[in-house]
Amino acid sequence: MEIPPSDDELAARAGRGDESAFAELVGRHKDRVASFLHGLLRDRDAALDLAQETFLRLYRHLPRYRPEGKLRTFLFTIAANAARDALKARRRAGIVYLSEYREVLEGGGRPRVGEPPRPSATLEREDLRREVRASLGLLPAVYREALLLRETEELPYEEIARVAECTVGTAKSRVSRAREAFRAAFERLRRRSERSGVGGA
Amino acid sequence: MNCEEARPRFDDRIDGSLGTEDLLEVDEHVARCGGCRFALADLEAALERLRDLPPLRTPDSFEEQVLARVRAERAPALRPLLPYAAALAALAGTWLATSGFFRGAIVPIRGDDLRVAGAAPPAPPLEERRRPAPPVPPSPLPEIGERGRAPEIDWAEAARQGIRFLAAASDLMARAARDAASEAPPPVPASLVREEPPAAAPAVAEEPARPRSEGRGEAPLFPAEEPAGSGGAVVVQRGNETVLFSSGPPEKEIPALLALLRDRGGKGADLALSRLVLLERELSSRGVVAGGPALEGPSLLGRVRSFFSRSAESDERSRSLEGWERWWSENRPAILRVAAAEPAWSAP
Repeated sequence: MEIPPSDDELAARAGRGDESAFAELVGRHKDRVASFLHGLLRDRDAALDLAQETFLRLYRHLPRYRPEGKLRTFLFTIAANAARDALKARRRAGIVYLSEYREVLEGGGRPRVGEPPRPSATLEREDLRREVRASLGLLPAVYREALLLRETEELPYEEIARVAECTVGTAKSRVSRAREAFRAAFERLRRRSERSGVGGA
Repeated sequence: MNCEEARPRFDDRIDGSLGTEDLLEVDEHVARCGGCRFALADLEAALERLRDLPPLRTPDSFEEQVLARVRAERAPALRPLLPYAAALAALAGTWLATSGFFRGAIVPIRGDDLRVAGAAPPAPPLEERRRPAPPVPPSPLPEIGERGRAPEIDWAEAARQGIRFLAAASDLMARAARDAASEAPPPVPASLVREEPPAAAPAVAEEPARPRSEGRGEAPLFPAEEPAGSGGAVVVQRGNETVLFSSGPPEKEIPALLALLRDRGGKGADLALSRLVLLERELSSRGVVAGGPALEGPSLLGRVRSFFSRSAESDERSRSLEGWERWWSENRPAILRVAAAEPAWSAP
């Protein structure tokens, strides 16, 4: 059986201009990078857009990439930087994307007018996901970043520290605080939707 | 081990990084202590939900799109770069020249004071009731290429056209601004002021010197009793405040808002986008827009946002005339459908 080439091998080939190697790298990591950005930005379209931007920047940086088996970390570093820039630009412009806050404002959960009825198990699962995303949205950006890197991307603390450009100790304490803040937000939203569920019945 | 010793180790417990001895001690404490047991269980349950989030699936065309951007970046520049202002003017000129349907106008004014987007004709309808029409740029717009051939863009000529247009419009708007600052605006029907983002009220109120019509809290800078069929959108920027006023039926308001979106990087674009999002939401809640609940899936506004949110420095496509024209031709039917479905749409 053929062993698939490592990220570093693909990166080296892509750096020499091999398009198919670069396409394979993109294919390998695109969903995770997009999901990470989605969690950070809470905006699907912006996440997909910035994911493309991330790979474009990766391509530009390939000549400077040191093959030490950390391409994923390298990618997340680029993505996190891009997301930070995007969030900063939004703040500077005073932009509030209503779609981002819809989940928070509506407390997740309730189906909107005009939606066809869905099976209750699906409904419940979707409600839960909406609440998870809403809770995530309530965290400050640095916590959100640390939490996603640890929990959904499963990066070790040393790698999180590299992405976040901080010390390992800081990375650990951010993850710890982020976990606690996330739990509290999630429970609050759960309680709220359970209450309104009872009220609506 | 007590609670104070156990709780700081929950993170290590979750990470699986506790040594055997510590692990036993923590677990023993958790088994005895109800508070810690619930705390750890809640934390683990919440994190489990987070890990269970389904990944965002990228479209199959994603790799191809990235590669296209990579190739575009590698390709040598096709023409020498015009200075920024000239390029902007050229864009405005060619855009006016080539888009027969879309005649909204976006006008960056010296001092960054005003931006306006009006529906056709280019002279802003919001203002013309109070003074004669301004001089229109003297020379006619360039001919569009022969039938069946893509139009050749003469960038130098387009820049000249654009600069003339910008100058004329700038003059017009400067006079309008002076005018608005010096006389009391006539009363405005409240229904004409549809969207007032949070910044709106202070922006209007911040001109104490300007006499205001009594009994009306909100008086925009470009007021008028709107003749039937006119409409548009105006962004007014004074100091730190930016306000969007928009009015008219959707077929007028939507193109004007879309024109403001071209103000990439400016706050006007963001306000216009917010207004479009709300508009789509309102229209779709009345069942005007087909294609599912507002703001979900590949909604019209999702596509607008996606088109305009690309970062300017890295994506030539989103600034190019071709990209814009393509986008517009793709979305025009949907926008016209919205407009046609309820031409007499008015704010509740």
